[in-house]
Amino acid sequence: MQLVIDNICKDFTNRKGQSLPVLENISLTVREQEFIAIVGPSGCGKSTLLNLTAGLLEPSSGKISFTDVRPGYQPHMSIVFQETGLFPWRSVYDNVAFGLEAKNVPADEKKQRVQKYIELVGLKGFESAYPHQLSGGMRQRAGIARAMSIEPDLLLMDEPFSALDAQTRTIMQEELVTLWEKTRLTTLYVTHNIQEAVMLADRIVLLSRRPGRISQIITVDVPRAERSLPQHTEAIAGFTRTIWEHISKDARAALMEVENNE
Amino acid sequence: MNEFIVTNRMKYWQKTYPHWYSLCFVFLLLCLWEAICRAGIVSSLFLPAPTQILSALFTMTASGEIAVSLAASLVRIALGFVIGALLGLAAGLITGTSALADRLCSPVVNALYPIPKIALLPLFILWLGIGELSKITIIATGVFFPVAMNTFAGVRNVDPLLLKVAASFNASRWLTMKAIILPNALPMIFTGLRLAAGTSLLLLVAAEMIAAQTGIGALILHYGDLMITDRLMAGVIILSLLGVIFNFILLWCEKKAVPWKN
Repeated sequence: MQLVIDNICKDFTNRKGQSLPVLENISLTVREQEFIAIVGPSGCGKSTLLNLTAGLLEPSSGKISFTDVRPGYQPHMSIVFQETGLFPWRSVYDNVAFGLEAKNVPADEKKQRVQKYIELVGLKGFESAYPHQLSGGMRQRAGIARAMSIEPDLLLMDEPFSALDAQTRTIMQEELVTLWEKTRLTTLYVTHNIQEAVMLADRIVLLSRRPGRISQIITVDVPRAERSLPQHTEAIAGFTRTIWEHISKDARAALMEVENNE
Repeated sequence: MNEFIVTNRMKYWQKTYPHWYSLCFVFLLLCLWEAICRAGIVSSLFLPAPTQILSALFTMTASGEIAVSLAASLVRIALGFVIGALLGLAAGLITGTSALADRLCSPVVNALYPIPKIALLPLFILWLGIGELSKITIIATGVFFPVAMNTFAGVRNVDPLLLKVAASFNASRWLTMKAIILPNALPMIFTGLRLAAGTSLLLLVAAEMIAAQTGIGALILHYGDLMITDRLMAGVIILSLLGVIFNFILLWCEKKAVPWKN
């Protein structure tokens, strides 16, 4: 099973009724067990692309589909949101259980899976805590556990660590690498952090500024688990430099633009 | 092998309908009402038809009856509202910013707040006479409490960070009040004003029904006693219009006064 994004365009209409192109001619195939990062300057439509893929927005034209699906099987997707999107009135346990509730998983299996993923993300002992009692990093762990517990065919992550401080962020990145090696979920990961993309992804898709188009796709050929080792420092820095050279002009232009993300 | 196309799962929540739907629905309801009356299902004594009410409204406007009543009511409600709102605003600002005033006055305000203000009318008539003053006072009292309480809440929910900014620049208490606390409270103040608008209309009609020769409330009571229901309903429609216009004016003021919110 693979995800095919086929020639997607998305326009938004602003309050004056003008049509604003946000994404143009995006075509991309995400293979099974592949980790793809989408990188681009702010306002390039990378979150929009993720929302379209998740089926939370309607594309203006084009088609997003899973191909080679077993007959009668409905693929599942889950999302890790930047602001976590945890329900404040549910404990960590009940938050993680939500996806399984929606999927009508039987009670025993649900309990077992919630436990498993809470342990996997390192939240054991915090099951009964409410989100506001946790630190930012812990909250996002709960968000990741919730998304992973339904064992989705595609995991979508929308800048999951960008609200965290730099140190927590580095730790969470490392943990995500280990976690991913254990689960090997097909992942589409949106970020504006180049270093993060280089540490995590098999392939990195670079989007240009508005309207977002795919300007380049870079394959990171260093094994994921070895990327923080000293012998690969040079190669990793090389990737980071290439990508930054590619998008820095767009990023500077984006900085000068008045924020109007409506 | 099959293909599974990703469709928009937010469709239901993202759906919108054009404005003319509301107009059509109101029109439909009026037609239904008219039809029920025309068919003679309900006696026109109990429920006059919309056209009947409209023609009553026209004759009453033409004879000047509406203008006289409306003028009397408007003077009462305008004076009562402005006085009550100004006092409420002052009380809210003072109790919200001074810890001492809060300790001393808030219990008193909280104790008086739940009293149905109309219960005080006999007392006000005793103190101030049966004339305009007692009616204006009862309206002002009804307006005072929601405005004071909302202003207080708006003052209290100021972001401590913004207060720290002001303190770091050695801003005087007066400047802090004017430049930070008041703007921060404005949206809440307007919520209070709109709540108070409803209360003031209620008290106006109640006071006019208890002790007045002129005014919309007196007019409604008069035609109720005479069982002339179409004229009674015409008065009710004037009240409804008054409420709608009142709310509209406050919304417009809010938009002008709070430009940083949308």
